[in-house]
Amino acid sequence: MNDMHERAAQWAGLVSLDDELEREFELRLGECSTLAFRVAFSVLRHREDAEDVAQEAFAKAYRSFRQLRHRDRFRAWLVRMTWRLALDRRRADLRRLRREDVARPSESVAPLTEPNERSELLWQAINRLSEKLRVVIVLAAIEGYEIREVAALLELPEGTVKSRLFLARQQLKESLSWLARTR
Amino acid sequence: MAGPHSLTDVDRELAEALRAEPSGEFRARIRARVASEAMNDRWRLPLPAAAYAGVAGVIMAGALWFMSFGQAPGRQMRDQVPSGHPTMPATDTTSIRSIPSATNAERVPGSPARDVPGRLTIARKTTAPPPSNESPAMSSRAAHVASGPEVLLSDSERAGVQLLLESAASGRLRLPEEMLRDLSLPIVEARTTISDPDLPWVTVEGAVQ
Repeated sequence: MNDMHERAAQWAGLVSLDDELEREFELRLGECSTLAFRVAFSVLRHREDAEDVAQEAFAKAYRSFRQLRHRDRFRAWLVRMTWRLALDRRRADLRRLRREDVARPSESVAPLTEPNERSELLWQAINRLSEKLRVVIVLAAIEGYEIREVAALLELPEGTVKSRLFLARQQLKESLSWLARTR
Repeated sequence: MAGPHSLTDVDRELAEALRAEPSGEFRARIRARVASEAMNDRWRLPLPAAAYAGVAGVIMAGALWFMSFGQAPGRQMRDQVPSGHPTMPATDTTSIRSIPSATNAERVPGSPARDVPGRLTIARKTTAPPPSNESPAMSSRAAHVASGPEVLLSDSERAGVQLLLESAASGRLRLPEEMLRDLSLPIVEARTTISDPDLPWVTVEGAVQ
């Protein structure tokens, strides 16, 4: 009923299209901000950097929101955008660290990982995965291992997600065992 | 340190590691950032495309303006050869004078003149009276050029027209009757400058008759 009233008001010119888009974007922002942050955090493992990247992804999404035809794909679109932006940010950070390392070899480089040893092992193992497997297992962990949700986010068949998740978990377990033995 | 041994442990470890929450002002920062952004309109062209279209429009308008207004005055400026200047180089001009029909075409008599090269002038016949201090032929011709519209042709175009007329005259080319009736423009290679008495008029107007 409420929706009908809104549509009627819009037809009557009482509500502008921009107002409606703004409201819809605000709704999406409330739904997806934590998801975008966690996706960025899974790549960067740095809170402030992850917030910056998620913020950048939302700004990009806002600029192109009017042109997004299928609004129900907003989550998937935002997740992929955040993932790419986070990867770009990490590559840029690594390049900068390498340059600084070459310039000042005596100084130690601050690690991106958290100080917790167990957590560091886990992130090392995740980083050893290929990107296809990594994004699947990270999103699965964020989404509570709901295959359907991950498939929707990555716009992949559920079977593909399931097999990639299985492979990723196997490789992760092996890497963790190997890393724990060699440490 | 003992690592996780089962897949369940791995899943739990990973989920815990990713259970990070953004700071309290995270959404406020996004809203502030978004407030400074503008949503792209569907109809809005990208800036480079609009700039290119604008430049192309200006170029086309300039070209049209030049073709419609700028060409004739420019050519006429070049036609103005100072008549009394002794050091001007000799130039050729070929003139096609418009005469009502080929049968009663008026033959332009020879007259001392200096050439203006590379130009072919098609001038409409005029009845303007000749100035008293010039020869009748020259004044008549000057009046033709001054009063009637001129069609200025390049050397290659002039050669093409001459070849067409010569071919028609020699019988190698048969032109339709109505075209011969309309073709009332004998070509006259005119010497436009008056100062050189040695150069005669060369006419080919008889070729089409």
